[in-house]
Amino acid sequence: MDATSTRLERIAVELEAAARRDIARRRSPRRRLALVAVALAILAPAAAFAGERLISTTAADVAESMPAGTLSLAGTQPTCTVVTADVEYHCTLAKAPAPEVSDWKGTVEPTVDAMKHGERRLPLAR
Amino acid sequence: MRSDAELLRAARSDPAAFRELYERYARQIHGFHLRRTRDADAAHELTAETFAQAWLSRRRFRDRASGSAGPWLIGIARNVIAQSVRRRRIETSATAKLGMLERLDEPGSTVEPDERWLEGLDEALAELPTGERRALELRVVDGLSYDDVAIALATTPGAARVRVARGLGRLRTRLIDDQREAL
Repeated sequence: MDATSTRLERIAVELEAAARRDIARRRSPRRRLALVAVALAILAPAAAFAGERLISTTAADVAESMPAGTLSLAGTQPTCTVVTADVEYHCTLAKAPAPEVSDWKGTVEPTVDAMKHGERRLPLAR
Repeated sequence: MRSDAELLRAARSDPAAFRELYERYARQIHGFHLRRTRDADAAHELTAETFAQAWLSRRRFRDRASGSAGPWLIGIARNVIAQSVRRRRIETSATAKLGMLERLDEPGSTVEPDERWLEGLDEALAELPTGERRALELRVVDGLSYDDVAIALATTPGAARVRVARGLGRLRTRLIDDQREAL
């Protein structure tokens, strides 16, 4: 076997190994998604609500409003804690959200108040 | 024997199928790069990069050349050369992304890509008879159906198909000659 053949064979071996790693990596998107989704911080800038109060004022209300306002969050069983009252909440999803959405960073999600009147849009940040 | 298109379809989940495709074309692609760079190390790096890019984009392959992946791979090889020249360094983004660079542990090429690498890049295509070249460009590069190629060339779909097949045959012969010359 000449030097070129040896080197091309080596590329073949490494290429196949790399391809196997690549496939293995891509076969676990749900797991990656779950890791991404475990902690979401809901940020409601005060400026966005000037002149009115956020209807859902407790952390439990915010948690309840998330699946109500965003279908993709249905079944995620969020629980929230207050970071800054009426401004920022830290929410944890017990289950990963709908798999078709892979990155929630920076998205804006609507919430619905307990009376199902109207909606508020809260920017989500990881 | 499976066609290239079938191998690429299988390669979506089967690395061994992709390796089979590599075995079919590695020499041709290597010859393509060696002919232009005239540097053994650079040619190997560019060959690895070409197939790494092909792996990463295998789902985008469309069978427009009667089951052959040759034109598609040559197109990737051409882009790898062009990217290297534009950036003044051997393109290695795909091999790096796949984690192949360090594992290959090859002596890195010391040549700096220059404009001369681009000379004659399309000469194989340019040397084809006009009708065959146009048919190939419309079918393979632009991705038109044979019906649309026929309309563009004011001929029948059957004649368009024949021109594409002949053009591919000539290109294949040319690439094999390139490879022999490079070795």
